[in-house]
Amino acid sequence: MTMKKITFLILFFSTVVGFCQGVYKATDGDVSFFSETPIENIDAVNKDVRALLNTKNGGVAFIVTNIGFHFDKPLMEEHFNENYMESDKYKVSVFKGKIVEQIDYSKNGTYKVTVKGTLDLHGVEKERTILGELIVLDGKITVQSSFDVKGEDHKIKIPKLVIKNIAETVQVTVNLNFELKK
Amino acid sequence: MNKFLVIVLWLGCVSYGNAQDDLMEMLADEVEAEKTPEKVFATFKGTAVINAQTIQTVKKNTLEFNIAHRFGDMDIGNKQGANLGGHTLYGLENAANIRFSLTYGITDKLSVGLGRSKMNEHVDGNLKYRFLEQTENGMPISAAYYANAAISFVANTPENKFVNSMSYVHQLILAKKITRGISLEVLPTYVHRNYVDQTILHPTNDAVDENDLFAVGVAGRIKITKRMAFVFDYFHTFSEFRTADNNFYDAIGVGIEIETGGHVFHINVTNSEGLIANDIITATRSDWGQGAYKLGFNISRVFSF
Repeated sequence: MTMKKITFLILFFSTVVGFCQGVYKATDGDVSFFSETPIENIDAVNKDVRALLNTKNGGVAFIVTNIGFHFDKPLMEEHFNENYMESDKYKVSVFKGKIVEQIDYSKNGTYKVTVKGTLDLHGVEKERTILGELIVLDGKITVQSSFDVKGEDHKIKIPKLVIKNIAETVQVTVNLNFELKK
Repeated sequence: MNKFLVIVLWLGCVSYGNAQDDLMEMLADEVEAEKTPEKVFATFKGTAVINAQTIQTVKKNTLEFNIAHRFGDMDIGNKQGANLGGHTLYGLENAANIRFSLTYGITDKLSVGLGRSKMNEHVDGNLKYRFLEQTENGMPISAAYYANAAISFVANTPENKFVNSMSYVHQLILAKKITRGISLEVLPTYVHRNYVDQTILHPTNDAVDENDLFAVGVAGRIKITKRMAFVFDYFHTFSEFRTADNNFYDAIGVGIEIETGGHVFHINVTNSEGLIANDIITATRSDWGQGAYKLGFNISRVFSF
């Protein structure tokens, strides 16, 4: 292979994965959670989420504004912010980690991925291994994941009085659509 | 030349963002750039402190049912009678006033309500519109406008005219959540009564009762625990006719507020018999000094649709 060819290949490759940096930014996405008890189900969606994915090293990070979680019932939202998440004190929840698998981001396909990292929620950091699905389609990347968060792990206390209404473990679902960061 | 290009590209790639921390830094920068001022939440709980309205409106498509109750005078320290308090179990066997009310949120900022009080048999229709929101590092206060129109259904309307049974309140509510646990509000208030008896003279200054009254209130909430708070409010009416020697007093209320799920529960002590501004501003005739304060409670429950 001549030097010219190699240069060409590198340049070509670089263009495909985004000129060296390979950092993708979530253009839209949401983080939702679901609490299920026999008495009532509580769900909330947050579209105020920002995420980055580095295809070069598999680094992934997302940050969500706690006050951005919206509930069906306004009072639930107020209690979530005031009593459980304490959103005025802990403004954001953060996950940063790394995709364990090697993925060819230049090829369309659906990949099962394992992400190892830390979840920083309610001021408590916790090491997590989270499973998810990563879809590459024409230069766009979609990540979907669902995992459990235990209130106790993050020092979120649920009073005995409402223990029948609020699940101790809630299911968190993350949907993120990435495009190459300009 | 080509070799040089390859090296430059390769170096560029390697040096750029290998660690997750760089990714976090980039994210943090973006969050900072797109930051919008956050609305301050939960300045007060429920729609009333004790005697004062709070800045809070009932949220959209939510109905609040409220029961407010004031027992009789506790009569502790009343110098006029011997052990008056003991005869009524410190007022618990009397009901000075009871008010049932429903308030519905048309939008998150506008709510309307209907209430009925025992005192003066008042039925009041009210509305509250919150037009200013306190934000973090932005707007320093929240503000709301409250108005009501009340009809008194007591027998024998003065001069047999229906209009004489009506009274109105206009109130501005200016509130600030000062810290996570302390909220304060100021309430400039105007009350108009269509009819007042102007044949009664003040015993010392010969003033007569006024149709239009101005008053100012202050109210506060200090959180003790996550779900419990100390609350208080105070109203002063500017009126020559309303002085202590004519047996009119400023309304003072102190209480404990407990919040559990959809309920807000108050236990309070106040010298005001009235439960709406139409009565509180015009007719607080009980003296704290004479033990004429009443135990009371407010219970509110919200229903979402």
